[in-house]
Amino acid sequence: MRLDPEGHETAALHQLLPDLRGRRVLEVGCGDGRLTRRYADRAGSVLAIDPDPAAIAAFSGEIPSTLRRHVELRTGTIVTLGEPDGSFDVVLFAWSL
Amino acid sequence: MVDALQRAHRWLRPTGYLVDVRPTAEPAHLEVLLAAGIVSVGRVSDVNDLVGPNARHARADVALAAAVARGWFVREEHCEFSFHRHADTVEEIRDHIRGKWMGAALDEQSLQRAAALQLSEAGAGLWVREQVGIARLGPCRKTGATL
Repeated sequence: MRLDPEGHETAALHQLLPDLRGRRVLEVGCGDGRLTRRYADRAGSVLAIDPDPAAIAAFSGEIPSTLRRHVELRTGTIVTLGEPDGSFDVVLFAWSL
Repeated sequence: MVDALQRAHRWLRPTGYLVDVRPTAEPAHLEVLLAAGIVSVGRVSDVNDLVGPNARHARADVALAAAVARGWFVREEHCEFSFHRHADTVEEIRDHIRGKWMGAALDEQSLQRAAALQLSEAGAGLWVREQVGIARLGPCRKTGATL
């Protein structure tokens, strides 16, 4: 299965996330990182969470070296995530709301 | 869903924003691309109103509207695009829907029609098309509303 080879999703993301430099992003429902790979190189840092440990493990095993330094992966949900208020510049629901 | 949006509101800095990417409540279409154009042969439907993807996306719309109504967020920008899942065979699509789409169903008649159309023309394309919305919302601090 080839997902969005036309790049429509990437174009839309770039339109609505025009400037991520230095910004801290929380991605909720990152899965295997398909969406994360499309924007994370432009962000200051990314905390990507997903309730499926297998998906996080798959993403962790295949994460590009260019993203490894500023993308943190955690198994969990928005309910279990213990972050203080005002921690993020962007909260991204990745096909997960 | 509303609880998740309230948590997101708390975690955002005042200058930050929420981005919501997900399919709209419009059902996904099974389509075949022929030389003469795109033929829609079926729709992905919900197995029932509780667990199907279309009902789930409709509930998310309601939750987001509730978060706006409670003064947590203000809508800034929204756009939609077509998201295509290309496959080589209808069997690949059938397996994908069964394995990845919780509560979704694609009837066998539509799959067989797609297979017949694909066989009728060399190079015919086959995909499932979803209409996807992406919205950016800014946090609104003036109300301090809670659940």
